[in-house]
Amino acid sequence: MFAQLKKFVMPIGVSGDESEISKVIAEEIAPYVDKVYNDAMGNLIAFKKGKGKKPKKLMFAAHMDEIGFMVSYIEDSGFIRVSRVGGINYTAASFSEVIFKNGTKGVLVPDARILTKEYRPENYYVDIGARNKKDAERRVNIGDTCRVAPTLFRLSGSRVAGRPIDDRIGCLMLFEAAKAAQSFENDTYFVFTVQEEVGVRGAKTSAYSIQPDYAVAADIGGSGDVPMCAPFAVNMSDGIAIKLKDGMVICHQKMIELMKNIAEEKKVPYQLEILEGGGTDTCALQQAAGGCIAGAVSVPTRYGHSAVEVVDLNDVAGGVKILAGLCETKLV
Amino acid sequence: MTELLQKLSSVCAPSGKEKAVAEVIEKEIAPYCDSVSYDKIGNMTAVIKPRKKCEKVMLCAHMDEVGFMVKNIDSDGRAHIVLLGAVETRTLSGRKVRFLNGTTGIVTTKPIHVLSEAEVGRTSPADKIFVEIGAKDKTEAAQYIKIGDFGTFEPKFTEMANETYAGKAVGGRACVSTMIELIKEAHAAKKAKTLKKECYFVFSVKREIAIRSFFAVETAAFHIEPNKALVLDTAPVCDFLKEELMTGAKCGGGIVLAPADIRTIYNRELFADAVKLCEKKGIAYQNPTFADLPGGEGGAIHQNGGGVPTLSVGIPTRNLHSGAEIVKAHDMRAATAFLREWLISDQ
Repeated sequence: MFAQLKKFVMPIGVSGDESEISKVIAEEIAPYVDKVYNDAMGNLIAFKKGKGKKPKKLMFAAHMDEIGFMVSYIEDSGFIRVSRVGGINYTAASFSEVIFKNGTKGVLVPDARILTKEYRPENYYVDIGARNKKDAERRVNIGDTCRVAPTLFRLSGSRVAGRPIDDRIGCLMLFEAAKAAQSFENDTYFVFTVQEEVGVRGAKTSAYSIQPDYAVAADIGGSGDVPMCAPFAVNMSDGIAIKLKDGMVICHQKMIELMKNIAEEKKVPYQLEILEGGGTDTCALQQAAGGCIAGAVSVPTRYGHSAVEVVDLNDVAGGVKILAGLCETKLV
Repeated sequence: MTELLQKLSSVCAPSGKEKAVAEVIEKEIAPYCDSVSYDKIGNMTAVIKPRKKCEKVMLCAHMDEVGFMVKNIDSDGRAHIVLLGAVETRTLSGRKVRFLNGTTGIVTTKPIHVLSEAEVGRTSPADKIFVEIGAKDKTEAAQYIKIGDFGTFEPKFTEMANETYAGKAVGGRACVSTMIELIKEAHAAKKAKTLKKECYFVFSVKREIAIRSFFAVETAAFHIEPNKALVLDTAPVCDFLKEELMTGAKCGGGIVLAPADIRTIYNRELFADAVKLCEKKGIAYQNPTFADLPGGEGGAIHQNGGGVPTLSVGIPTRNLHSGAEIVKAHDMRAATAFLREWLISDQ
């Protein structure tokens, strides 16, 4: 699973500019489904026909975009001002290596003589080593995207650290579920959504087009087991979390029950997640077009939106079993 | 161009009361369109289709403007108002305003002589602003205005050197005027069989009072279900503050092509192709210098239905949302040229 995750972590896919990661996932998942295509927004949809007459539509969503930066201005001196894309933690991103889609490398740094507590997004620039504006423009243009360099490495046991685990870990879960499912009882759509980090935009439009009966998002969650954190009843390594609620959605009881039953049947350890803030694709899935029965699985994650997001691959494996179980369940 | 812009900017049409300007626009464009229709919330859609079946594109410009509404009339006959849209409140005091029924008033606030130290240099909050219409009491005021009446800045169009235009709502109406010119061009292109797109020109309503992503134009997009969309709107100008590093666009610097704003990441291909098209045809363009600019109608359009690849084109406008917005004919011409080339290109 680690090697597969590495394949999904490395390609760039800053929100609105996901073509690289889309290509990689499309190639990987194609052997396990009937059809793979991109829609108008760029969402990657892998479709597997269900058995029998008039099967229900089941949609899985994991976002393939990641937080990053977009070039907004190139100074005469060749330094590059960037606009944030998604919820950047500037403390985490300061003084790190960034890589552009075309491979250009740079470092993200704050203006000199600015105190840490005074950091504002507009105080940051990327130094690609250019001598002047003209030199910089040979490699970078307005609108180009970049992100903090990807990385993935093993920690103790089945725990791993790196970025962007948010939400390539969800993409991995969808991929592994498509691979592991013994049968497909429903028309199943594995959707790798775009622009989640800027406001669940891709999930909204893909769910509108698909109009699923049931939908499940797979994303990272939080972990309540680190020093000084707010009380939160989900701990890393205690199993995959089934979402009850987050800042933007209350999951459907039927979906919660369905997933709990599968987990119990397959002896998958699970936890129930109530996330105080933040949101996932789940809210968009639930409300698109006429609405649907929606829920989510969350991978307990430490240090989200940093370059060292930490998850336990055992939790992930449990999540895969639940998603595969849904594929194998005849939904009515 | 001057005459049309003057005519358009002289019409008072605050958000929610766009009928007056819609009538002017409809009269201008009707002879050139296959059809003109309104949806239930007032968006106007004009259609020009080439004979051959081709992709559907939606081009939109909003026809409303910032303004105000009367919320209360006090015992001294003064009108207390709520602002419609992000009105430039720093320059409101002493401004002449006009109610839609023709009544004229002057915006009034606490005189500078009696301001406390904390108030000096600050803008008056909206609830401390009122409109004086000269009435002696509430009863007399009722002859001129009533609660719920709409108003805007006094229309006053000024032409300055180098085809520079100033007046209320000039930025928004420059976009409307550009769209009207474009409709004429599209009509000609249809006749010449060079038109490559099925065009839906939308003049939208209530853009200025949209909060978050709730734009009225969404309704039009829902009905049209376009394959692509292009949003024409104003772009804030702030080119005189040399010490400010990250400012808006330049007035007279050409159309503004934005890769992204707060509500929308514009379609990568459309954006890249637009830049190429400008380079190829020698059309003046510029990128906004800060992509965190507040977003426009694209935010609603690109997420509509199953998703719509969207592009943003801006006309640089100085003093946005004030009583005297400023645009340059040069930028309007660049916008018309770009849009025309876009419609007859394969992009």
